[in-house]
Amino acid sequence: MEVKSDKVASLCNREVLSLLDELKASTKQNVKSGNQLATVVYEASQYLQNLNTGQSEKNVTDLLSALLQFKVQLTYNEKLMIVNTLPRTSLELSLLINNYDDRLTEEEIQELLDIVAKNSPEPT
Amino acid sequence: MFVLAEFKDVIRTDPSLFGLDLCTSMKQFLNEKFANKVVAKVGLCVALFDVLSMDDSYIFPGDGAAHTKVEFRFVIFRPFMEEIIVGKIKNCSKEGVHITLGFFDDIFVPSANLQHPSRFDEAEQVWIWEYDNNGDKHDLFMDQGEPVKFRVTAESFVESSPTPCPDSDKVTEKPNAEVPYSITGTINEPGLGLLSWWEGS
Repeated sequence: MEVKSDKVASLCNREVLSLLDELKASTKQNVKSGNQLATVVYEASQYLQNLNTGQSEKNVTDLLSALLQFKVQLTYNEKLMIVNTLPRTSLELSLLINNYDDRLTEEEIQELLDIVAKNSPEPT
Repeated sequence: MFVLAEFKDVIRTDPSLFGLDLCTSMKQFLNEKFANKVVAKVGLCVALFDVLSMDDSYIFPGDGAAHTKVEFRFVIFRPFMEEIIVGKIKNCSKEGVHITLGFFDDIFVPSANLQHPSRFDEAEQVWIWEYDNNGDKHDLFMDQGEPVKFRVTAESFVESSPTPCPDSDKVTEKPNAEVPYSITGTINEPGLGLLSWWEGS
């Protein structure tokens, strides 16, 4: 076995969850496939479901395009974490963004939080 | 937290599977082979993403099976440095706090990376953050099963190779103590730690 690349792309949690759901549906027919796969797929999708209650794929794409248009440039990883964790308070946001105080003014923080809130599913 | 990795491998397809579509049996085999396994320096394999290319199959003398060179992509659990992740407290020990994500257990927050000041309660086996709100002291417990937010600070891969048994009579399989992939985290920042600590802020 040869590793050609240890990271071709990053996946957001929503993508992984969709993929695992698809896989769960398709493996129901052939129960033969190893239980290792069933275990990790079940546990990982359980974990992701508990995290992201009801984020839809459209939420993710809308949020990402809104973040791209945001006037302060965010790094790839920062955007990924915002999509994955959906910060609701400035405290949560401050954890995700490097040099938070220098890069964002208070209005920009509020704007960013509004963008996230607008593109998140309703909290249940 | 999840990435795609690209692999290349030669897969043996048993003649009994020749009746099936090669692509289907290949996908099944790759999932069986890699799912829930750690590949060194890559991460924990979760599930097959797609098959990129498949070469012609070869049959070698003395073996009826087909050998096919295949390139494929796998979904890998591999958080990047400084990533913020939410998990659950698995247990506390004197050394620190163990966190689990359900599918991945080997996350450890050493006592030095806990909120400061924290103390360990021997009787209850739990870490307590002695939160000081302007002289008004609160004990904040880190109970088992509580959701906790942490930052990834380090990772380590341990290459575990099959060790030759020194005494061939004893074929007792000892539990593999080596953890192939482990993550070190910190919760020593405002906003990190138990989710309930920061709910009001």
